[in-house]
Amino acid sequence: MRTPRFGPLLVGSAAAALVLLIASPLPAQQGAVITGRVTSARGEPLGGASVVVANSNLGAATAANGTYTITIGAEAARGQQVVLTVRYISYRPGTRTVTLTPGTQEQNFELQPDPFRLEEVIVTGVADATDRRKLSFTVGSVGQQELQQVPGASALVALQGKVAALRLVPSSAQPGGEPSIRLRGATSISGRQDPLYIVDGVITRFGLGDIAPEDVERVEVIKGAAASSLYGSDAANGVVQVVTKRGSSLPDGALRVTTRTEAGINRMPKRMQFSRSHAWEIDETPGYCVATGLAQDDPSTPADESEAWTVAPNANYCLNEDDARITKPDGIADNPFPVYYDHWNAVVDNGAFWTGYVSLGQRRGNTNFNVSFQNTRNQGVIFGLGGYTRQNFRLNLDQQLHPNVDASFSTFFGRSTNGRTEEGQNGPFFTLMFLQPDVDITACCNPDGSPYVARVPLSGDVANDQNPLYELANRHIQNDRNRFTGAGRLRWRVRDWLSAEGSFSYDQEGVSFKDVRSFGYLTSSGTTTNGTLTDTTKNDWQSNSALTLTSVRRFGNITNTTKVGAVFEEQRNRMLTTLAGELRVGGVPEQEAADLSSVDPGSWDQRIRNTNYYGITTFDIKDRYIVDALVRRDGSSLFGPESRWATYYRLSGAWRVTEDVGIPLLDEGRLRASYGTAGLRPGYDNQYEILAVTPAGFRTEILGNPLLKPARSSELELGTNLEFGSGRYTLEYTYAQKTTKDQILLVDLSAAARNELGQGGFSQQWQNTGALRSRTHELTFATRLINTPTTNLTLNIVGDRTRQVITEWDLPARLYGFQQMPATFFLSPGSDLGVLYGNRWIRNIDDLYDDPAKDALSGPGETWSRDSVMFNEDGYVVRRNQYGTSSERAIKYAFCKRTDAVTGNCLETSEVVQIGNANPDFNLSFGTTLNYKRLVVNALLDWSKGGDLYNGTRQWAFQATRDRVQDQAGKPQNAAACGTVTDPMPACPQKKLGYYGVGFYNGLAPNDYFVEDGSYIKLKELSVNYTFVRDQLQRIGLGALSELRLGFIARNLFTITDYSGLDPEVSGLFGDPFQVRMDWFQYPQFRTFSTVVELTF
Amino acid sequence: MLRLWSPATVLAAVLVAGACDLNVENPNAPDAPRAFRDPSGLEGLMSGAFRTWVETRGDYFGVMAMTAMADNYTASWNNGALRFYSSVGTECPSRCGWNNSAVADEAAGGPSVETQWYGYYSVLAAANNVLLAIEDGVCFDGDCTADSTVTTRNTAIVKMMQGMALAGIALVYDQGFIVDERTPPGPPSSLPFYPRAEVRDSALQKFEEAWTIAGDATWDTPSEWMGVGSGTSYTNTQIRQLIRTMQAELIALSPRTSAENAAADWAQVVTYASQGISSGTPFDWEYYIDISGRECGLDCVKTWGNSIGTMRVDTRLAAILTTNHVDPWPDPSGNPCPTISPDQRVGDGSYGPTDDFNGYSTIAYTGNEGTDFACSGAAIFAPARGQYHQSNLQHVRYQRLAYRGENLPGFNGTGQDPFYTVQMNDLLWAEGLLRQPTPDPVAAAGLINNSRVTRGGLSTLTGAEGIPALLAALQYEQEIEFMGQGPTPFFNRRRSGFNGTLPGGTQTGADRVYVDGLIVGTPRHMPVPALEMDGLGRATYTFGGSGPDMAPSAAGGARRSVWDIWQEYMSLRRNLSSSRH
Repeated sequence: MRTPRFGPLLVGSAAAALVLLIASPLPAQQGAVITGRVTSARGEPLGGASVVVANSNLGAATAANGTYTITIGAEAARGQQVVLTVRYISYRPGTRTVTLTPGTQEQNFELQPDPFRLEEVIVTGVADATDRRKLSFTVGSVGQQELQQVPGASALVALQGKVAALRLVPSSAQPGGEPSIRLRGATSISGRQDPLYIVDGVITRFGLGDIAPEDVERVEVIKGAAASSLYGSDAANGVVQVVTKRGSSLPDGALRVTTRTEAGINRMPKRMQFSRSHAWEIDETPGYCVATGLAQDDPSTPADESEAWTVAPNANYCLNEDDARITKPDGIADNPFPVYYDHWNAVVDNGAFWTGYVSLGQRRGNTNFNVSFQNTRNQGVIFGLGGYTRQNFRLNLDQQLHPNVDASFSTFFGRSTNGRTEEGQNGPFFTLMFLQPDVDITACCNPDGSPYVARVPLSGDVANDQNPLYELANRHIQNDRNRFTGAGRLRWRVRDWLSAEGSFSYDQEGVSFKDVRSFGYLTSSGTTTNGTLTDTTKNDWQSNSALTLTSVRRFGNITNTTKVGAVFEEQRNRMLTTLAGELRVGGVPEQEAADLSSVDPGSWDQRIRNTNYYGITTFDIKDRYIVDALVRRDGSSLFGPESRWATYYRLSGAWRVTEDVGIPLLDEGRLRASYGTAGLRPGYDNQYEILAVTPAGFRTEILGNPLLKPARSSELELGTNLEFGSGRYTLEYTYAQKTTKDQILLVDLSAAARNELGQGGFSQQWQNTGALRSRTHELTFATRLINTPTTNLTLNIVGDRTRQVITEWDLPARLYGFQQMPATFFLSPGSDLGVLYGNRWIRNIDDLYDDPAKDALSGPGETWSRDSVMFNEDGYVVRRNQYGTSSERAIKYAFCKRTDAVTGNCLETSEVVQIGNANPDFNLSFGTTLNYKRLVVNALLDWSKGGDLYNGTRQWAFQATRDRVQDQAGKPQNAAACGTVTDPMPACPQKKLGYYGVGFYNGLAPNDYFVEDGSYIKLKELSVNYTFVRDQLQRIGLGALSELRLGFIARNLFTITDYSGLDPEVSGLFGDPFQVRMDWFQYPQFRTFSTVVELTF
Repeated sequence: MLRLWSPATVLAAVLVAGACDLNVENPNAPDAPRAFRDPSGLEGLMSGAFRTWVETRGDYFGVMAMTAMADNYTASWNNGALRFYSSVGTECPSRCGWNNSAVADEAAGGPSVETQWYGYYSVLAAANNVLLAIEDGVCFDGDCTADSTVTTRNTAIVKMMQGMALAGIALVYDQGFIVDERTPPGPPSSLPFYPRAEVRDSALQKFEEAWTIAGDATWDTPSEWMGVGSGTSYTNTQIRQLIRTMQAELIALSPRTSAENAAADWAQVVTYASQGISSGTPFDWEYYIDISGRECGLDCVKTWGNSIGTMRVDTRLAAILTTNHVDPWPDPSGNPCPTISPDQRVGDGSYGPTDDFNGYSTIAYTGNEGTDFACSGAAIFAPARGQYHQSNLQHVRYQRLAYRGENLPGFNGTGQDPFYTVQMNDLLWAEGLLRQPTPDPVAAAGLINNSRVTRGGLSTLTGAEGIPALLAALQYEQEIEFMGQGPTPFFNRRRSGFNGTLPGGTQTGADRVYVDGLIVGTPRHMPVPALEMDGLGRATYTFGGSGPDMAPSAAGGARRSVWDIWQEYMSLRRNLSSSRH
């Protein structure tokens, strides 16, 4: 029976009640008025500066001419002393102690420039807006200035290289895709590492992909439990909060209209390389083949189906009686293809992208707002795809309803369409790896008139060949999405030290996905099918209600900020998907036109409820000692019924050393320590017992777990922040160690497992088991290399080194992979998370004898004697008697895995060993900005050292002899000596087909031949902007404009790497992208060049 | 004061009353209480168990490899570790043994020993769950008496399922659990492994109980139990016949060697087979492969085995079936098409409505096409992967169940899938008659002729040919009639007694050496999967390769098991629960 829930309703009512409570008029008494002007050191007015009375809710923003006025009620003006603080981006803040007495007083400020001071106040993870110099833990912050130099395709992309230990990996480079993000090390062994996303204070479950980057004013990042405890059971991966523009930072009275247009092209910086030679038997004399005694392939006759599509008039292929090509006896791929069609160039295209953005913002009196619209389109780089288009509308409005009451309202609507392609093993990037290059895939057309020949010849080796152009042109995948967000917030300053806040938000996403192979769709053998249709619709919504009370009180030299709150979350996810395996009629790609017997539906309806309470208190003692503590209690429907509630806490402190101890050259020095806990929630159905529904009935599958609880992450963070050289240098160093216990893992059960009722057949169960520890050193260093009135050159370096190890693992060791990708990634106690396991090819003869079977036969004259093996030209140990023959193979390493404790005999050998580690040694990013007058040059260089990748894309191509190393043409050969082992070795490096196609291909089992160093140095961003100001514009008749900015932006400009794939920033399409560093037929990352025109009125 | 206390009051009220109900029912998947509380749910479990059995019998990971290791089908694709296990002298000195490791992936044969283990035990658990419900007094049709017809029917069926599941374990593995509805709840680590012979005997006992109960009333099985949409309904009489066939099969195919084969209770095989599906009114026991189960969704062996671009008939068998195909495959041009064979199941090898159908260098139907085999000129496998994988002969008997019916007119990959045919029962019966202490060659010849003459168009045997000749003819028929029936060809080969050396045919040119029907090094059954042993904290072991191909299992070591961990959870749960009362 469902129980009525009053949470959200009650919170809304509470907010209304608050409004009613404050609606009664206040008695008129004389208060205090503080007025003044804020200017730069050069006397320029600073419009939009923030002037606040510290430890209170009182404050104002300056107008365009730098003036401000703060009016304080008589109740609050009791003659006490308060600190007045002025903040402005890129300036050092100004503070002054004033006495609040009735009447007007003037306080003017002159601020000193400081380009590193991008954002002074932090709101994420703290009780109330906090000066970042008083933080007791790390909060990364990226301001508007940094974000808007090179706005990314999404709000997240612009964070790369700007926050230490924040790593982004593009799960897919397909336009509209959202990168995966990890903060410091991993917390989850089997799940993803994505942080909790908050937009303008509202938790969102539907990603940031819909948000226009131009709307973002600031992003704050807290990286682990030491800082994120305030967000409880869903925050162990950290929190990313996006703050959008509200017009609040504009000068009072100003109306600002901004238009921004960016247009550019996408290009591939690199291309796939293939073999240009084959091993088919040919005869140079046309017409007759001596090897077979049969006629050669005659392309003028249609007997051989391949001839229909192969333009190879001089191929001279020898055929057998069945008109099939035959492999030449030496099995060496060194015959050049007579015609070489570059399939990669046919599939990869240049594409355009375009973004138009307009925003209108104003701050006037008690009102500020910002409204914006964005329209963007990105074609990507793949032939024939519709690409990604998105339209966004956002309105943010703040209104002071009463001197003590503020209201905020935000609404957002976005819609996008995405014509895309399938990636991985079922998409065109896969089939491309098998096609023989003498097939003209651009040939037109099919018997039904559809473009690009579907029927391609069997390559002779494999049946995975398909024409990618046919699929790209005739299979239509469309992903459409709508998003609506609405949020309201009411804040009542009950007293000068107490405020109450109520908020309500609603976030909704609708997704429509359609994948159509229309009726008559052709297979690669040219057979007509009835087509398929997949329809998926999702309708998800989420509402949050929150109520908080915040107290800010000063007791002598101690300021205390305390906040208590409650958050109620309700989420519902609904999905309906229908797969029709057969359509009945052409031109009607709808379910009603499908063969009903082929329709396979699926659906889910998930409700998630969370109730969370928290209290946080912070003591600021003499502006130099900060002590912070919080406790949070989370209840969630995602936890098992016996574990419905979990408690989290944080304790942290900071000491501003330089306030107590004068240290030469050090302007500011702060030591901080924080310890906190946070959680990872189970998935929706993890707690439940599940019987799988098959078309025929049921099958017991998952044993329920009423005790399932969130994984628990505990993090200790130690760090320091230093400013020295008169503000010329800043350094932040943090060491963080977190351990996440009670991992949520799907555990295999015994075939004989039964529950307490004796019911069996449950094969798996979600359990809390295993622990993961990660340690991160992170560094942020910034310096002004040049600082003159006309020229500024700044350098920002962020870096991290992260190590992560599985400290507890009570389960059997496990390898995992996805699709048919080699199961390479290994989980076991003491193992680094992200290690790769598989077969290792022996390069040292001594290693041979770690295998007891070989060791036993290693004596003189025996099978595995030392003189029975040798090194080949590639450095691998091979059998001497197989060298140069078709049987030549590198040898797998094997060792004794388990010995008999009594006899010492080997009971079990294994060929599976560690072959790589996906974790980089370190990551460093260098960001530099040169300001010369009004010219701004910005560059971001990203360096990732170490870390292995698995190139599964190339491994598959070995099967079809299509990889570049299988091309033996041009290699030295000495036919007479091949196979005859001499010392020194004969110059016979040519290898037969099986050496690669069977040996290293290894049946698609993982092996170290395909493990590559993923190190890279990449110039990710380069931008050049010049801003024309009003004086210049007036001279050319554009006086209506206040600013005109012209710019050029290059993204992903060049990469230095030894990685042989397209891009070393690659991750698998499945699982945790930071562990599964697997090159697997992904949409390739591309480079963009664009120009920007930005007008400000 | 009002303005100060009002928000606090409101907040307090919210905190107290705002707490959501955190108990959310999962509407997306049934659980045991919901699925088993009503009879239709229990019957859904039974129906699902049949499907699981079908899926297990034609399994992708293990059974396909077994058929290739029996040199029955061949392929050089490494899907399901097919190439890995069937390669001769490349990966391993001769054949690879089962790679019984929880950390070996598909390509190296990790899951190969797992899927049948968990599949058959899933069937067993479903049967046990239904029997538990029946013991608890569930009413299937409103008639709550213990001997109601539907309850009797369902009891018989789930007892048969117990037998089918345990038979699967006994045929495939060296040992296994014996768990039924009467086994007291407890951790699996406390359950012993029983040797395969005891598992077999337990299966026979369950079959016997089912056979007895099935005779207590007259009933039909719901057609949907045998496949969605077009499943066949069977009478209790037919179910009893089926049980007898399964019993005969279990005894006949359990032997791992020719010696064990000779020692089998063939008289009992005769008893059972004589009451099997070819007795009385003969029928094939079929499962309907619907569209959701086609394309390797259920019976992968038939889907792959009858797909001309996917698997081929091993040249070992092709050389037996034709007079113009040789073993090994002659390099480079292979064996010729059309085929020459007196057997009309082979015919001239013509295939498809047009020449070169689907690009596989075939000859269009001539009117002399075989019912079971066809010939393709295309060598579809990479020679570098081992030319012994190449073959020009293709199995087509179940081509309707191949990938979308191989695009042949009228076929789309769905259809009736016979798991037990009349011919299979006849051939088991005939073998029993020939191998029992007092052979009956005439009766045996008659049974062999049912396929040999009726389907193959070959000469009629009289029984006077002598036992060896009759056994040879019988083996020829078994090669054809067992083909495509899951792991049955593997079970059949491992006991065949064929010992010898075939020249060449390996990648290195070495000879292929057979012992009792299997190439040296080929394992004769599977070990308990490492995944299971690791979970129980016991040591793993394996068969084949350079190790023993069927030696008794090694004793396991001890380690804290997954189940032990779970028991601690349950103990904690009980403590929590009791503290709240």
